[in-house]
Amino acid sequence: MLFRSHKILNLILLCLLSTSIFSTTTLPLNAADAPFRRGDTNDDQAVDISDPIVVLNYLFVGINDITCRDAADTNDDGSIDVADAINLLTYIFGGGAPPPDPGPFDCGLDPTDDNLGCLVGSCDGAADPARIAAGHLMQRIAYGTTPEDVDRIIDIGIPTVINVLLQPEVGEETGNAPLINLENQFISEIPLATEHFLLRPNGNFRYFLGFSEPPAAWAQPGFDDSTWDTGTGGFGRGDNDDVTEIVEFLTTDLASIYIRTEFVLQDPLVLPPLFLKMLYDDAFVAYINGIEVTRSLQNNGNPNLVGNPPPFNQYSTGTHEAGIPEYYPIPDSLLQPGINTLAIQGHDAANNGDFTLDPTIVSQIFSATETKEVMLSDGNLQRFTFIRGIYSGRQLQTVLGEFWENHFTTDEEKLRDLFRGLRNRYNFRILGSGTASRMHSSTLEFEEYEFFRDNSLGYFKDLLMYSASSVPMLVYLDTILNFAAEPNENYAREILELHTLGVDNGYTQTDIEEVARALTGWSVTRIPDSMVTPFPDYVTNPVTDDHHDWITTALVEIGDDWSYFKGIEEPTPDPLGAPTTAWTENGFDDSTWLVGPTGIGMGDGDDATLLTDMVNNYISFYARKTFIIPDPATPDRMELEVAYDDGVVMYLNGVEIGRTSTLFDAPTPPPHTASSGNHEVTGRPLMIDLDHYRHLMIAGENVLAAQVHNSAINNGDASFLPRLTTNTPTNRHIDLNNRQGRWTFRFNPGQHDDGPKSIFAGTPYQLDIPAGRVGADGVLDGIDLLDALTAHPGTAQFICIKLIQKFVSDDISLTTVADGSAPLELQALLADMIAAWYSTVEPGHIGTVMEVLLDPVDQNGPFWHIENNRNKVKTPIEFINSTLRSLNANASSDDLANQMKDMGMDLFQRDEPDGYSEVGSDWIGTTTLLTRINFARRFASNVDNDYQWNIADYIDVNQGLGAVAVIEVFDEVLFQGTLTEAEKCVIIDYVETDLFGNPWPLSPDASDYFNRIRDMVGFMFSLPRWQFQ
Amino acid sequence: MMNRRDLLRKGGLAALGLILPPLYGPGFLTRKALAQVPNAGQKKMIFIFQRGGNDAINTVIPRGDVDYSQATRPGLFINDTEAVDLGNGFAQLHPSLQPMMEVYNHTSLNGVAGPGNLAVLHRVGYPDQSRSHFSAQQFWENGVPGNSTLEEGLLYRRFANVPGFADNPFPGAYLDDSLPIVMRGSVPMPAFPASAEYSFTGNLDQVSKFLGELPSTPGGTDGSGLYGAYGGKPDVEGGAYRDILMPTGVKLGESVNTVQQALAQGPYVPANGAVYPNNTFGNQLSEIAMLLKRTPATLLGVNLDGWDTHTAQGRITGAHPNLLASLAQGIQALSRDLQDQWQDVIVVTVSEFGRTSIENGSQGTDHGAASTMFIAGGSVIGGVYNCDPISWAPGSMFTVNDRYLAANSDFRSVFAEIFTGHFGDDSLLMDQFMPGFDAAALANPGLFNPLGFLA
Repeated sequence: MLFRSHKILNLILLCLLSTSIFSTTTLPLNAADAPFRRGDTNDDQAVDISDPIVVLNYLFVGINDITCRDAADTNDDGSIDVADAINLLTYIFGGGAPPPDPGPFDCGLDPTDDNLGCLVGSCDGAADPARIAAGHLMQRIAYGTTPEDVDRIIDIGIPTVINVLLQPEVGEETGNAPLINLENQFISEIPLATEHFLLRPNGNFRYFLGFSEPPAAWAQPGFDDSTWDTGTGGFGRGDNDDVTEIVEFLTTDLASIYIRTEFVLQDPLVLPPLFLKMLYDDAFVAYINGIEVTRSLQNNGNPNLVGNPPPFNQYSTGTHEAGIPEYYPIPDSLLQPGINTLAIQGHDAANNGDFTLDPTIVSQIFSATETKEVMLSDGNLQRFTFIRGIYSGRQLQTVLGEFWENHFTTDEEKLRDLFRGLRNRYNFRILGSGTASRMHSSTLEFEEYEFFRDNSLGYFKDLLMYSASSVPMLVYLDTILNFAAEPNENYAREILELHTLGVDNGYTQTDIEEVARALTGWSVTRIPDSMVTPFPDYVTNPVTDDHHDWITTALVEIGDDWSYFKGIEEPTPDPLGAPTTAWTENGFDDSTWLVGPTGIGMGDGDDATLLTDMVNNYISFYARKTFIIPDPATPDRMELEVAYDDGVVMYLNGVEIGRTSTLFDAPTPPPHTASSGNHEVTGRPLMIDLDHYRHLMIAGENVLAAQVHNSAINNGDASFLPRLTTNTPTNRHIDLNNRQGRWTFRFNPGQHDDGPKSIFAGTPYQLDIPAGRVGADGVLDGIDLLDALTAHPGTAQFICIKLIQKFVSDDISLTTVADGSAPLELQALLADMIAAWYSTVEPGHIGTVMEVLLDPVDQNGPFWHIENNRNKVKTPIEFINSTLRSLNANASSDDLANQMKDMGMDLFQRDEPDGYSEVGSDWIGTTTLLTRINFARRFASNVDNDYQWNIADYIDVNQGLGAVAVIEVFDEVLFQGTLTEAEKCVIIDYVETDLFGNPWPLSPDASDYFNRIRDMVGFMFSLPRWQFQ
Repeated sequence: MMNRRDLLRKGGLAALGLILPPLYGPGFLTRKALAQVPNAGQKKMIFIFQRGGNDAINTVIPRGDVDYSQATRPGLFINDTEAVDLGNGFAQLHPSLQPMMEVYNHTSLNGVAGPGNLAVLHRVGYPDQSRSHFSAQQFWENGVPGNSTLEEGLLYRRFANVPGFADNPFPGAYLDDSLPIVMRGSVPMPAFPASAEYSFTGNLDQVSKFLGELPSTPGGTDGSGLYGAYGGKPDVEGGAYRDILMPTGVKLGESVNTVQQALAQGPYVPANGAVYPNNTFGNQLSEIAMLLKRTPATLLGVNLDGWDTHTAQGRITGAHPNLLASLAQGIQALSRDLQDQWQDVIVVTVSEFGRTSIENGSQGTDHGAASTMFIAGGSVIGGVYNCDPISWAPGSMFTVNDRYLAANSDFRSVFAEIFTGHFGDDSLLMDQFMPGFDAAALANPGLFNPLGFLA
């Protein structure tokens, strides 16, 4: 107790003295000479009677309390003997000369070259060099120290630690339970299966809004729903994910909607297991052939609708978001061959703005063992940089994984926007909701990050090629828009400027244009899981064709004969002369109609049957065609495609199955005099997915009928070019609505410029690409380019400079290397790293380059130089991870991405392609500092459940430690004992002064003891020192 | 009981300073007294950076040039009748810029018609323009084209030269997460995206204790709290970045103090019916106006991002038109809101480069060379500069690499006009504010002719 108060007294005394008392010594990082006060043999910061006693005890009693032998050599003669004790006694009592420099008040290094040395002491910079070195290592190749790291590294030895970390490991981190638990929370697994639609998306439904109870038999197969409205699935409002908007969910107190459709099956016993695949918000009950098949559940497993059936005005208990489909098995016993009825009542939650009901039916054949990992959201994606940064034992790989992710930065949001806007062949959105598109974009970004982390110590060529062919990058820098006829230079510029050579480092505008040409045709596609091949096979042997590859058989081909009728009058008027659809029905006698091959029309030269009398005579014509199918359930993927000018309404066996948007405003059916909006045959054709109309078909003869309208009676062109097909998907085929399959690289030979190219022309690194690489061979242009870029000395130089910036010092850049102003030792290190880059058979092995940078055996390189210790400003991710690691925080990773964003870093979502800066000046600003301080103090105070630490791990309340001792504890934990006296002064003043400026001793007996210490730790995190690594 | 709003109404603004307690206690009082009244008569600048490279040709349309056509811009071409005419028989504005015409057509809102307060500058750039975003932005910001290491800004150098700058607790700010190069220098300036979140956790007393006091002498050890740590002795003498970080910490405390006191004056209501765009940029402009009225700031900057329109740029509607609309509404709102100090204020917009004169294959445009600047303020002589039948020769759109618009004015010359004309700086200082200015002017006299847009 006495000892402690003595120290406090000294500390406070020091705080009041001028700054000159602190000598400006350089920290010896790896030498055994620490600064000291000569004569202060017990290092209590004063030379007094206790000091000669320590010397005498050492010499004659055999008690060695001397940590700093130079301090005990009070006459600086290079040895500790009785003369040192006598000297000191004379000085203290007899007015003798003070001990030679440094001392007795000033700290300093020993000016005399002797063999004594000084290991550790209370002077600034006199912390244990071994501990400082261990801390420094972890600040750079890890996200800072955990409380155990320093001891462990000293135990194992720095060379061993580095060598272990330089060996990459992949796969789950066995034995690291906290990490595995967290990873499993944020990765979702879905079973691998072959999925096949039996009721495809965007089906044709009858619907009834639940303003009253529908008739009791509404879900039964025979129920007459002809008075219900017709609509295309899905139904709902809000979230931009619905086809048929039901605004009443927002504008009225509507609680429910009832929908019905029919679908046609072969014998269910020969089909694989069927599932109702549901996108819904917020609740539903589904019926097959009048019998309830399933209903939605709350998270607790209880249904969110009650009653059989739930009444029309019941709101869902709790909310549920559509986005990721859910699968409900359908028992075979509920199904029958031929026509089946699906009926669903969907219910909204009370006071809820969004609603969705979007059912499909699929068969699935599950893989027995395999699953695949998906990342449900960008939030989960960002968590990985934290949970791995904090908990992973593969720290160097994690730091480098983040480095490469940032070097080859992509923007998850741009990818998400692409998916959100994606439409299928029938022009319906595939992933309307943000949730679904987020899952795809986040999963692809995660896979990219995984590759970068797993291969962070591997070959640069692999990292570059992975990036160039990754879906996020192909989308992010517009490679998918890089066409032979119209090259897009966005990626070409950035691969040179940012990914390989560095800005203006050995390329020209012509090179950019040539690089863009070499990469024309690089694109993306979706493939079935069965086609997935590992990297780099999917680049070197790429998929070249489109996702909906299938074998087409025409049931009705262009050029087939159709019966037709000129619209000079109604073909089948009712008694009052109004139009009817009798002429569209199966069995209508069209024997009086004309017959001719399609296209039917006039003008533009695209018709086989010319209506030469149409202009100024009639504005419409009618057509019919019979086709035969043996069983409505069996033809695969039936599709009607009609090229038209200007408008058309299509009927199947007397029922309208679709019309062009140019006739949306016309009555049903349109009279023969109706005029259409404008449309040319070269425009988008009318595409109808006939799978939704199988229930209208019969075995044997069926009839397609059409009425075609011109835009005006005097318009000079009209056309009708119909084609009815059945399509058998090949193994390549993947339905974009299928949750199985994956997005991947596609090389599209049709968009590749196969002319000759010359890159870096006139330099020693000139790459000549021959003309005539056609077909899949065109991908070799890009592969040759990536090889050339990897081999180019500019790339070795730029990447090594970035690694030095990341791990050693900001005092180097392309510019300072070019003009020679970079520090010589960094230039020398760069030269050594470039030599290492070329020392392997394939150039650019990052592990080899990093070993040169880290110099684990000699520990002589710039990495270890004292001026490079705590000379780098932490980036936000480094600040957050190192703060949480430093006190073994229990962090779920909740909220950390928001904190990082507030600090100016939004990993995976940066707009600009240059990645976040590694240079300190870019991270020093008032807001950057404010958000760091606010975060760290919040963490230290333990008020946030998302990140907690256990103060009892550091402070035993029974030890009764006072302020100075507590500061010593955290000085060691956070800073390896390197705090200066000045810093300790500010800290002790902070912790021992109350809100009104009065002295306020820290009392271990008071109930606020821990809280005050936590507040003090928050203040320590706020110090300039903690901003550096 | 009378609330603060009642007091405002009854006691008027003069009473405000008396009723508001100092926010952060005694520590604050030892600092230099903050001027509650902005420095009346002080010249001020609002700087707007259109980051990404603005398509100058669809912004200020060179209607009189036959190369501006459906052929060069099949998806982006804007018809004569759609655009806003500027009255010089040559130049037109994108229709989304219509709101700025209020500034273009009137000296002020007090009913006195005149030549307007908006200068529309076309073809501003510098010799050998970079088409890299990163280099080009750096050159516009550090004022030394070609120097990619200098991280000190040209606006910093100009404003740091004003007496008292270093001691001003709040000389200005950039409304963003981080301070861009244009305002970086050895004395840090504050940067924050939104005033409301620019605060420390804790009540007044706790914050006051946390901030503490500066040492009695710079670098001394007798300070306390944040000020003591950041205004005191560095943790490592001569350590990297300590010369920036330490004063930044002090400036953080001071600027948070100033901003929170400004906010404490009550909700901000823009004057004269000004309506700022309903987005982040608009909110930030509104905060800029508030800070100009309630703090000693004379330099405020803000970004408007998203101009890198490689794909689906948008013709009359879409990404680029939306950005233009935000910019125009923002400038219109500033001119209304700041009429009380309009004579002192100059609003300056820049973008790092223009874009290719020919549309690309993705309904967008790629990186180009010269771009446009807009300059507004009470001392501005409105009009179109560098976009008229005399200075704009046929073929101008393809002067550089057959692809881009060449500069007709160097941006340094434009800033020199602003510094000397609006701020009254000695022209001899230009080479100090923009190192290499004199040599560049000598080498490229054509690019350094004053445009005369200031009264």
